[in-house]
Amino acid sequence: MKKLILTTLSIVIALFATGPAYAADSTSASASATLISAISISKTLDMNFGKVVPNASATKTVILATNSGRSGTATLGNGLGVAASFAVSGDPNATYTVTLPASAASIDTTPTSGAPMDVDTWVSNPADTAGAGLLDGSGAQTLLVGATLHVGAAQPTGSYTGSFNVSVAYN
Amino acid sequence: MPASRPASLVAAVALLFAASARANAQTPIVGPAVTALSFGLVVAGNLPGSVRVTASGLRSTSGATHAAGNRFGVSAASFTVASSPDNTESSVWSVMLPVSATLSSGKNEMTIDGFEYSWGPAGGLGGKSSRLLTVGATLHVGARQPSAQYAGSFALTVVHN
Repeated sequence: MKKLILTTLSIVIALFATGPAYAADSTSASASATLISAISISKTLDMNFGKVVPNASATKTVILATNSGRSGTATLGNGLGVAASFAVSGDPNATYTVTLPASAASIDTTPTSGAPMDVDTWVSNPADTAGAGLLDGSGAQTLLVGATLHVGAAQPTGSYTGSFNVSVAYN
Repeated sequence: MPASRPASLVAAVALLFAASARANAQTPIVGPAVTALSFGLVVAGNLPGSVRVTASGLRSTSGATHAAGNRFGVSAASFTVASSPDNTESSVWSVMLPVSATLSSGKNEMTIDGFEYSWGPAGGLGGKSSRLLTVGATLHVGARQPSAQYAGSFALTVVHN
C-alpha cells in the first residue's frame, strides 16, 4: 500500500515539473522604413520689381505677386516684374513645406545710396503652410515667390539689389 | 517505522514542486502587434548612418542619414501582454528580442538591431490584466542606400521568470 502511494506521488511531481517550461508566448511584428531621395531647391529666376518711380514726399509700395503681376501704391515704370522662381526636386509625390524669410531683406545700390529699401511680406506658390508643396510624379515642382517693396520718399534712383533665402523640407 | 520515513520525505518534495508550479502557471498572452515598428521617411546620405526609434516612439538620426518628415508616420512596435491568471507585474516577465533583423526591398537590404523595449502601466490598455509593451530599434542605412520602401519583421517572446 505504501509503495502505491510513492509511485503516485512521483508521477505528480513529474507533471508539475514540466509545466513551467511553457509559460511563454511569442508573436511577430512588421518593421518598415521608406527611403527617399533628398529634397533640393535651386533658383531659376531672380526676383525683380521692375522699374519704379519714387514719390517726392511719400513712402510707396510695390507688391509683386507670385504670378509676377505688380500692384501697390507706387508709380510703376515700364517693364515687367518677375517673381522669384525655384526648382524643387525630391521624392515623387511627396509633400513638403516651404519656409520664407522671417524678416525683411534689405536691398541697396552699389555703392550704397544711403537709403536701402526693405522687401518683406513674402508670399509663395505653393504657400508656406505646412505640407502645401507637392512634388509631381517625377519629383519636381516650381516654387514662385513674391514680396512687397517699400520705396522711401525721394528714394535715390539706381539699381538696388539684395538677396533672401528660401528653404524646403519634407513634412 | 523505517518504511514511513521516505514516504513523508517524498510528500514534502511533492508539495514544494506543486507550490512552485502554481507560481509559474501565469502564462503570458502576447497579442498581435497593435502598431508596427516604423522608421518613417528617411533620406540616405553619401556615407552610412542610422535611425533610432526608441521604445517610446521618438526618432533620432546619426551619421549621414536624415529623417525626412512624418508622411508615413514614425512608431514603435506595440503589443498588449496579458497574463492568466492576473499578474501584470512587469518585473516577472522577460522580453526576448532578436539581436538583429533585416528590412528588404527586392535585393536591397538594411539591418535593424539594438532592440529596446518598455512596459506601459498596468491596465493601460483594456482591463487590469494587460500591459502595453513597446519596442524600438535602430536602423542602419548604407551609403547612398537606394530609395524604396523596405519591409521586414521580427519575433518577440515574453517569458515568465
